[in-house]
Amino acid sequence: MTVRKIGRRFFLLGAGGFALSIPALPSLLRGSHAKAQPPAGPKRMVAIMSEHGGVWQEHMFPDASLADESFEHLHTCHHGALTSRMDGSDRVVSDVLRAPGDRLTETLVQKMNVIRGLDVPFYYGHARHVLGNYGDMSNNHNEPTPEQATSDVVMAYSSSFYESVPRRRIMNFGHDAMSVEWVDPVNRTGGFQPVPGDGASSLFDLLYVDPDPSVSRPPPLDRVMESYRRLEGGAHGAGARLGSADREALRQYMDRLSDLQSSLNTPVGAHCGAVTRPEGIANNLWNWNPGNYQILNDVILAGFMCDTSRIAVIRTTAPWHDGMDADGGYHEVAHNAAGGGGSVTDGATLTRLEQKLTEGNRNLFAQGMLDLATKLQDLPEGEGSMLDSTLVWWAHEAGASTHNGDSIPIVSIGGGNVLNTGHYLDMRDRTATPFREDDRLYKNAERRRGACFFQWHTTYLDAMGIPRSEWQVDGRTAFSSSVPQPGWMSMQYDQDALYASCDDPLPYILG
Amino acid sequence: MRRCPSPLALLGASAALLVPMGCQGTIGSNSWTPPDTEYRSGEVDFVCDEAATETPSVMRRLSRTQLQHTVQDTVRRLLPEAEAGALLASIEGDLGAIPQDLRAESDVQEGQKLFFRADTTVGEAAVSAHHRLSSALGAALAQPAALDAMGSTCATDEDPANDAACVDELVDRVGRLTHRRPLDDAERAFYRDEVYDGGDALDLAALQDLFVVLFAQPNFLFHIEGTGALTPYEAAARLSYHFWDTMPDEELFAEAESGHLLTADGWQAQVERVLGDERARQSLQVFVEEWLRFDQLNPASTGSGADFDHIAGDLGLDASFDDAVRAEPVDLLLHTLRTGGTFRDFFLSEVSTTQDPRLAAIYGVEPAAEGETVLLPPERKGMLSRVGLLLARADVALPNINSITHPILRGVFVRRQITCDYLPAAPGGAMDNLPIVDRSETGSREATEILTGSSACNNCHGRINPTGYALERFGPIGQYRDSEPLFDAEGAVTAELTIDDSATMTEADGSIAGAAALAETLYESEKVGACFARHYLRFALARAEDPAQDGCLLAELDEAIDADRPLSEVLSAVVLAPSFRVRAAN
Repeated sequence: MTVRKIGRRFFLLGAGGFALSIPALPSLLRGSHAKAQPPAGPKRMVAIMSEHGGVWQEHMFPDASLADESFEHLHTCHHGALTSRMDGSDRVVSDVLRAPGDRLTETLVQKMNVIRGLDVPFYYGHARHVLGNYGDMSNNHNEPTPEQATSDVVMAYSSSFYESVPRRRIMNFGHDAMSVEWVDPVNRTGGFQPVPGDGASSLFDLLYVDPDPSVSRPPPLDRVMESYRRLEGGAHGAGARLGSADREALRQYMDRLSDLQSSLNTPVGAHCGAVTRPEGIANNLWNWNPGNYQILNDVILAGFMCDTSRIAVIRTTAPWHDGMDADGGYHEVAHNAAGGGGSVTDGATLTRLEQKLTEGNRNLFAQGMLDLATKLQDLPEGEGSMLDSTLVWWAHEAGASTHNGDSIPIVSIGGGNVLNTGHYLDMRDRTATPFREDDRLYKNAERRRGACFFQWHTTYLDAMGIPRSEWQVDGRTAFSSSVPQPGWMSMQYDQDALYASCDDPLPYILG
Repeated sequence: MRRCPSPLALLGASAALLVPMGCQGTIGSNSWTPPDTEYRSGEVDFVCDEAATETPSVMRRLSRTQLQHTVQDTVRRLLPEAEAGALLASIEGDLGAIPQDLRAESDVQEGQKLFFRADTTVGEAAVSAHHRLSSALGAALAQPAALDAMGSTCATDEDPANDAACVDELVDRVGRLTHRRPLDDAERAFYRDEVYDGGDALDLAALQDLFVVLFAQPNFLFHIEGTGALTPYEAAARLSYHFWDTMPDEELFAEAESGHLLTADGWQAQVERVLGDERARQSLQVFVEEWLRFDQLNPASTGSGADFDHIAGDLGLDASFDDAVRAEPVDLLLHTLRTGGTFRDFFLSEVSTTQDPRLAAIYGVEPAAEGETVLLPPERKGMLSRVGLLLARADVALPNINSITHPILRGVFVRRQITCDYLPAAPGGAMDNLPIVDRSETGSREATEILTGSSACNNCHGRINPTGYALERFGPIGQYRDSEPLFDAEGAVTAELTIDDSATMTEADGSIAGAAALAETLYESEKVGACFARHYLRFALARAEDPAQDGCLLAELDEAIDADRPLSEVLSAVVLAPSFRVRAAN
């Protein structure tokens, strides 16, 4: 990180050439503040989901031999310390998890976890299960409709996570919704609805709060509330003719207004004054361009520095590779890389396409995820950095075969204040018969049954201190249903045992 | 009780939309069983029961488009053109930050989507955006220059004697627009005495708060309608939001105020005026684009690869071409309306309205002059051969357009959106063990047969595939072709296959061939008109149509289409029905 002083604020020049101001934190830590050993920052989370999956396991994960310590969980699983090696100027954890060594430092590697062998054990279309919702809101591929709020929403509406109402509970980036919330989040009733994505520019304007109180006039929200109350009360006019469902809709809006009003009274973080508007920011930044995603990272950072939000969700549909179009686009490459169902019939082409997928995912890691982690790491907080209180994690939509959920990769950085880091978990049953979905599929031998994907949600929700009573609802033990699904994959599992284990935190990572 | 033939709902068949598609292998125990309710499982769909009660609906907020239009119109009604333009430019970011509406699944027809305007969800982002928008509007309108431009010089002069009257007048004037009706005494007192905290003195900060509240209160952000018969102002708003996606104009206000609007003649006259107004385009465009699922369209401008370059040649397909493709169906619909045409004229149209030279070149005709049409070659007869309907669309990510047509995607689109056929979702496991098809050696039709060849697939693909085959005479971007070129990985042509666009349809005796025959066959089956009625009613009521409770209205629309009454009468039938001006208790 290069910090230079410009006026009363400091700016960080990011890899994309954009400017992000950061607080003069080193100076803040001098003198009495530093000696007082300020407390660790609040818990935060950033969840990233990239579409399709399709990266071969041997490229996504470290070599399996590096997890050589066995332990029992459903079957014999394996664990190892997460290690890296240098290859030229690059530090390498795996083919995908690779970046220049001056950015992917050994310190950062030790703040990572890589988890292999977490499964959603049935064929699915485009389930956004990575947040605990495996029924796709927009495209129901024979999966159950979402029956509960996603894990990020559970966190966002838990008083154990937000002790006061933030300006934005969840920063939600992406073309389409990935989070699912209650229609009535206050009472956790009314069914569920998807959460629309935010525009980066608009969100920044919301999250950044000028510390100079003269800049903004307190909004007359009390009087806005009163206008709703009067209509809902129905004393006269149209209000007297409203139906009960109408009144309920008005009450729900008033709850949201009340939330908004509370959020405006929540104190802004001390570092907010050091934030400036990122150059090049706009609302629609989804096109493939690392600079775009680095701006999104800056918006997230602004939310964290101002403490106006502590959760971010990114659903990236971008290919992270300029060469996908030449082979029919990201979708086509991802599907063909799995070797099944595509039009590719020769191994050389299949290998070439998968290489693009590996490179694209490497770009996402190195230029997207690592950019955010580095910025968080560069912000001192408590005795460590903002990264230590922020769990940044990335999951693919699918495993090595698109639309199939075996070994959906989980890569995390940070969050060391709440969970253990530096681990490589392989939850697969290495003795199980390899999946033989299709003889053409690449690396069937690597694909074996694993553990319940939803253990990951259990792990970080426990780590964040979210009471289980807030998410183990309606008889479910975890973000899953015990509804068995047909197909070749589900036949490989003891479904009852698998689902019964979904609320087990992952060993080594927690506890 | 009347019974009308109608299509049945179709489930998304989403998995089958993945490319490539197929359902070979073991299907397992998850095969679909049709629901046994009458309207889903039989040929009889619309049941007009005169005794049926109105379907309750939950109060909706304005859709994103409606809110944007309403803000723009309110500002333009308050300020002269130049000042309004400047103010709107200053809040462009806040207008753009209103969250996109969501397209919910129909709870009546499984697999069908509602229109964006039916979205009732209100989340944190929407409330926050509303707040910021109203704050920006309040701050901008309370500027002295804006007040002067509004003609409220009393708010900026040095004379304290006119301050109280000035505030009163602003409350009434702005409140009338933001409530879409005159304020009543209680509301006037609320805004004057409780919201405006400047007393009888003119206080710009207090005025700003007043404006903020006026733009944030529920009558502005929601469609506020009492249950029972709508008031004249409520009816005016319902009419204008239906056809214009924005607030009533001054003529509608005047008609509502005089009470003439709710007379039979008054309502008929306003329906005709509103539908004939240029502003109807903005609502009809929304309807057509959503009906035809342009939100799922794979735009031609994203085509890539050497084989695509071979297909596209030097057409220069860019974003403006995509716009022309999207505009064509609504232009044709408006042309049909203007010329007194029928839905049949629209659906089986033989003319092109496009002014885009590239689109015209694909059709093999000259671009049309503004407001004019050009006769198409006979094989282009009907909407099914228009580029906007031929391009691949699906509610999942699709590969970039290349040289390959997708008979399954085309067939599913037609069967879902045009004929409302019932198609269940592909069963679990349907995608297992898909055969690999070498497309350098295999044409689209043969590839489709290979992928869906098992008997388990035939129930749905027996209807889907022939529909797509009949469109095979048109390439991936809609160009007419006599042969299908096959390409190797480098984009070199390896073979030219003779097109076979014959198809065996359940709607026809024997085999048909080509898009024109397909369009005529489907139209004559009466499925197309009935399906259109269904989509349009769903749009008009901003909710899922209920085949039982809305049966009479559906039947009326369907009959108007079958009787070849002018399209304007079809579109007007919904708003002319007495039920349009009644809101059921909820």
